[in-house]
Amino acid sequence: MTLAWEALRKPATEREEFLQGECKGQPELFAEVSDVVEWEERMGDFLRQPLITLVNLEEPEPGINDELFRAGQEISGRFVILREVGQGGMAVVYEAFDRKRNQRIAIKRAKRGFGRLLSPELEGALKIRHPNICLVNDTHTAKTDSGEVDFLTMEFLDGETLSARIAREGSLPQEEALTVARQLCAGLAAAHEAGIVHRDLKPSNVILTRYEDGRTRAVITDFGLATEASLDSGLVGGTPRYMAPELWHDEKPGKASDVYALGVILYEIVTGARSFQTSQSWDGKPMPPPERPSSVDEDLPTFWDKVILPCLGRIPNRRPEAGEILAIFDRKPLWKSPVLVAAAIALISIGIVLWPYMAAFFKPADIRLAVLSAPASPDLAALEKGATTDVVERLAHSAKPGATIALIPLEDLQRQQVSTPAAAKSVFDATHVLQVRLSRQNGDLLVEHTLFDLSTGARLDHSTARYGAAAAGAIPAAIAGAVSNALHLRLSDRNETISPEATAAYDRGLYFLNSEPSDPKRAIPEFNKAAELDPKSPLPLAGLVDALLAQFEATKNSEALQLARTALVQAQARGPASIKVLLASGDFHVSQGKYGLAQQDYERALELQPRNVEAFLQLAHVFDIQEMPDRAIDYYRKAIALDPAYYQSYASFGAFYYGRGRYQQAEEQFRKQVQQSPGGSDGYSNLGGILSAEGKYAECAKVLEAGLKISETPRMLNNLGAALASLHRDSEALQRYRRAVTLDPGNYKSWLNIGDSLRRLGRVDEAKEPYRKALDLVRADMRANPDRGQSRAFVAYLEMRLGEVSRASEDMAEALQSWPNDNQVIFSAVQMYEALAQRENALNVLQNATPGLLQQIARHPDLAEISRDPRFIKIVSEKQKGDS
Amino acid sequence: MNPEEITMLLQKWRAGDHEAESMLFEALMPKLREIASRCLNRERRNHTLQRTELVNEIFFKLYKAKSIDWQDRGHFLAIVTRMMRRYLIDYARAKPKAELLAMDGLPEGLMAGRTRLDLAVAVDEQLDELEKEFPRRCSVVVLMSYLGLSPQETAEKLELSRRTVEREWHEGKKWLYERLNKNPCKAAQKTTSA
Repeated sequence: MTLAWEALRKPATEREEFLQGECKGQPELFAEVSDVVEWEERMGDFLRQPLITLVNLEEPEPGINDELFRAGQEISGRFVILREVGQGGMAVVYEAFDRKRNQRIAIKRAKRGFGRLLSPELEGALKIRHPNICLVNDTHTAKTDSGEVDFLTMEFLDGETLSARIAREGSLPQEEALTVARQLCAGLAAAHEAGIVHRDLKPSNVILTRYEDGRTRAVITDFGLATEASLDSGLVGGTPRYMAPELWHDEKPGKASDVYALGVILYEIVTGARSFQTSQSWDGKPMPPPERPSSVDEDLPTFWDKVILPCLGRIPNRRPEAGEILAIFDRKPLWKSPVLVAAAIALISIGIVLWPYMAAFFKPADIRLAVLSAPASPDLAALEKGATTDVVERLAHSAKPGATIALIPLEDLQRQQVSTPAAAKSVFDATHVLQVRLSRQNGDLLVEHTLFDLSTGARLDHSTARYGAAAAGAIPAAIAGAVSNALHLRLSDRNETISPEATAAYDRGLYFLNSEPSDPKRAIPEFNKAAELDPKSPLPLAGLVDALLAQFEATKNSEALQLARTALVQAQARGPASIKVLLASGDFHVSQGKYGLAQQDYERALELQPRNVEAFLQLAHVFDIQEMPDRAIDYYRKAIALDPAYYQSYASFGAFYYGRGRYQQAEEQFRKQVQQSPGGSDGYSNLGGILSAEGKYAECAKVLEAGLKISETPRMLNNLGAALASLHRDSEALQRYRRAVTLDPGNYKSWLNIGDSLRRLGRVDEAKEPYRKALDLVRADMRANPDRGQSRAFVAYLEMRLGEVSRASEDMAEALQSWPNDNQVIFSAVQMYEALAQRENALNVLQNATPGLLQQIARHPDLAEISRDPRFIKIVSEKQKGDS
Repeated sequence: MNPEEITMLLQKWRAGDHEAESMLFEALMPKLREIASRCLNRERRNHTLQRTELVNEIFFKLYKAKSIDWQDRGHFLAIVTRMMRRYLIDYARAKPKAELLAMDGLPEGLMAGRTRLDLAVAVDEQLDELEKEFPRRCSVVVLMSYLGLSPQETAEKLELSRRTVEREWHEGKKWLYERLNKNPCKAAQKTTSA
């Protein structure tokens, strides 16, 4: 056959000669091939071209419409067409020069048949001002020879489309991917906030360009250009790869389908993979969920899995909102459970508050606030006026649940020459007065503000803050924030932004903090840089607080704590009512053990954002620490009710139950965690841990094997090893422990486990070395964390194993004296006393054990003997009675 | 219609039940139309790309629907190619202006006063026959002649060797060419009555 096609490619006159040469001595082959050639020659072009050409009949033939605008042509007496930049399905884009504004712009003109380029959606899109959304200046209509033509003028974006970039170079480098991803989220979130849905989001609608200083800027174009009509007719709507499952069932595109498309785009950005399949199969069955990005590219942080996979969920209302995804990029690690739960990146649910606008029409405002200013010197008057105007504007956009607020216009106050609280009350019936006073000191600005309740005469809030000249822009937000806190107002979110200049550094900071929560060294300088680049935004400082707290957590270096305190004070000066600042403040107070203050911070955050799941979880944690388990449970349940698909709530709730020895309830929660986050290993890790604690070793091993397939962590390896050891499979356990020390040679528990398994396998001499390593490591840990009881108990146990019995006994006695109720201490003590054949001591220590711990002891491979002792059994039954 | 019902219909259809075929079409055609109109109407500058994508979509969506018991690949291809054919013919009939391609170079005898649409319809009629005798050959012809895939793309789609595709393409064309030339009038009559 191939021969025949080869022959056909040659000129007709040479074919026979060619075939004779090729088929020399094979007359049958020659005859067969000649027949094929002959037939092909006879059939000519029959079926050579597609039988039916599918063209869109609504679209005129190319060439006719394209003549409308030509290079050099001037349109509407103002725009000079420079060149055609590209064509889409329904529009042509030109580079042009706007003579009136004296700038380069882009012009987008509808192709004929797509006159409805200018849709109601687009009208909305025109109003969005965001660095990551292509700025549409205006709509115009030009008169041409062929009639009137609609066109838009937009900012000119000098760059390439994201699709071209990915096609050319594949995945984006991590830092750039992060920047682009965050910017796309920010753009989409801003649009969604304004009620604008994109409907046809895809990489070819994203332009990568640069800010003036050279940093990457990702811009979403064509917002609102996919019109209702075109979607219905299937003309432009939806590119299958980016189409959410529900769109296959003729549902209307919405925010959630935009988020799905965003997820696919992010997937492509980080993996460069175009292997991503459409979401739906023929018969309406969902396709299997896409592979985790981190499994496509092993070097990718699992962070991306957590960001991207939820966007690709099948159920639209379970997908995160764009703002929530943005929040992940802006997230800090959640609190770290001391026992079980690894720090995980969390989704924050940002609720939208419906302000009681309507009520305002029907009754007088509950709060009537007058803002009065008194400049100390004439040269500050302008600044002060600007600042107070801004404050009024900010507060005017605030609200209070169950109450209404009115701002007395500054002009009115001026006209009536009101300058004192008393006058404000008598003239305008003001209920509250805010006095603002600016002065200069050593080149800095001193800003004093005081808030009075005129009905009681009470001073509700007062502070004096110092600002460098460059930071003056932060004053209005700071004052408005302080007032809103004092009056319990809900401030609109305009202080939760960050300038384009500082965004990149901020992004990097969050990324480092999220990806390495226990090692924030790289995050800290980025947050500092961002805070410097954007002297107004509280966000980098809030991030800095968290990074420094993480550093303090890791190193116990009090300098970090001091820096965190400073950063927090600065953050509060910039945005006291910023959610992120409030959460950071709460975290700071938790680290200080000031739980009451922490509670206030989180509750205030909930006042501002009543659906903030993170605040609920943090509050639950605070109640837990303060021994208010019922309230903690209540808050965990609230967090879950708010967003039942959010796995972190189950993780935290499970850790809470685990900490209280309620294994069954903990197991239930961790199972839900796995269910909600089957692609993350944390759930398996937690579930495996609890199953091990419950003695369900075989199932535990299975669960952990599943988790280890997702990601190998020393903790899961150790837990798996422990489960295997409990099943008397020490040599298998040994392999897992050894793997754990390769991953993390500094983990003393792994070394200790290796020693124990070797010893049980009868390799007592070999066990010495790992025991020694463990001892060195745990001693270092004890020096760093002298208040951690389990370290001292481990030291004692290891000393005993290494033959230093008397020293071991002393250390253990000390541990038991200082931490008599610490489960790990009790456990190590029992292990040691049993090894030393000191049954009495062991039984004595067990008086303080919880029922759960007793069960664990009964199952431990080294402690089989004591568990058969009648006195042990008696303790167990007494405890159970006491417990029930 | 759920996958089980579709599977059942497929089995009946394979056993020669015509009722089952029309029910299958009724069940699956709207989806095919949806996919096709989406793929074909998007960016109209590169038809080859669209066609490839269309075929990808259809194959992907249909064949990967695991809960449908397709029995074997040939079985599946037969029904899909037949549906694609039906769709494209309907499309061409509904929009006669769709045939914009020049008709130069086609053998005189074949055209025999037919428009290109007539020819397409005539070929389609004959393909029904071809499908009965050589289902695989029919699939090759449909993908290459209706959808304009290259031999390589066709080979990938049908999981055949390039060589086999070329042979089947040749044989299929020959088969159709002979039929159409032998009996042009009959084919034309069928067209008008269709």
